[in-house]
Amino acid sequence: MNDFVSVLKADPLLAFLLIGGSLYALILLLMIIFYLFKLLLNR
Amino acid sequence: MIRISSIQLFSLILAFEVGSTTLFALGIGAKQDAWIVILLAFLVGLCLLVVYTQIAKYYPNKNFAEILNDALGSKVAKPLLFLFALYFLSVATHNFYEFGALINMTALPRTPLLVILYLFIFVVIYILSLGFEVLARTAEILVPYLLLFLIATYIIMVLSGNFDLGHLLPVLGDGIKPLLREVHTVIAFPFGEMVLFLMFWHYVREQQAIRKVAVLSVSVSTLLLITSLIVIISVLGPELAANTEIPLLETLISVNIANIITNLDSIGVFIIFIGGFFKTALHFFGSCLAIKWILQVKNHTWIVSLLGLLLPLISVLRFNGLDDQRWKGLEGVIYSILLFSFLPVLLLLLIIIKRKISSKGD
Repeated sequence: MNDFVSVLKADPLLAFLLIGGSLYALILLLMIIFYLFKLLLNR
Repeated sequence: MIRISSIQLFSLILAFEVGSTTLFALGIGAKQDAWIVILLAFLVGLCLLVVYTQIAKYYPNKNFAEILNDALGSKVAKPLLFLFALYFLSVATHNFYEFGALINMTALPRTPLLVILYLFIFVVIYILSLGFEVLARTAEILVPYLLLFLIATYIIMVLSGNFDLGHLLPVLGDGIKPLLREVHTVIAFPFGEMVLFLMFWHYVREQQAIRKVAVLSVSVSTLLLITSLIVIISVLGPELAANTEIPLLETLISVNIANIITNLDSIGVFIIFIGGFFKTALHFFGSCLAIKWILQVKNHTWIVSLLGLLLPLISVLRFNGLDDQRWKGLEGVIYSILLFSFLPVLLLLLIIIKRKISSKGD
């Protein structure tokens, strides 16, 4: 864990990618949930 | 319209997958069971490949930007495309620096690294400015040689007298835990890296053959990787294989058949260079394509040239040496590859649900 944090500190591009990618994973998950509800309500 | 044939796609994937993996003993944390780690990772890699090719099946002949725009809307799609561009660039700098440093170490020790990197990138810029088709044709020509040299080195190493299959025993001697600890790194590298090909599916002439060709190519690559690993472990033993900087090269140097077949490291450098070239070129081109689609420009030549001239500088500024690059790669980049290779799984789920909604609406 400590190693991982020091890599993130040493490599800002990697930190940006990991934060951005995680945010997008969250956005996609939220979109999936939203469309799933839409699909259920359409039944 | 640029189009590539199925054989060219096969060659590109093979060169890409075998690529820099010849530098490492993959999954060596599991010692003599490393080959089982590759086999396990291959199964997960196949599932990922099915996801990537399914997206192409839903959107035949459409590029990744069009797919993202259709699935997510342009406001959400553009920043994601930018993230993918940065991710491909990040992996490209890793491959680029690593191969430059290795050529520096093995073949050109007195040449400054930056000179090697610039010579390397000039070739990449030249080929890519001619178009993706030229890169694919280059792969078509070079991959048979890559295969020939790889298989020849395996045969020579087996005949060298240092080969002992006993190094692979005991199978699962420490149980399954060491395998599970290692498997995520091999899923990411090289199988997860196949996410890059989402950028190139639309170039393939026979769209219905994409999955078949990709699965076949990845399977052949896995066979080569497993053979390579078994040979390396059988010659060096698991401890030495884990601690050597370039196991393939070390194994080749150890070959001496009757003082005639010796000093085979030049073949190793050839294998490393071809693999490194395609890994760097493909990741770099993926990044350039994403930028081209974001900026909505027609010609990518100036993006390739400008970014290409900056790539050696970015690489040298990002890494302080091969150790630093490997540390950042193994401790950090593996997770970024995992993250970006699993994002298309969510994208596919979203596409499927949206299709169901629209089919119900009809």
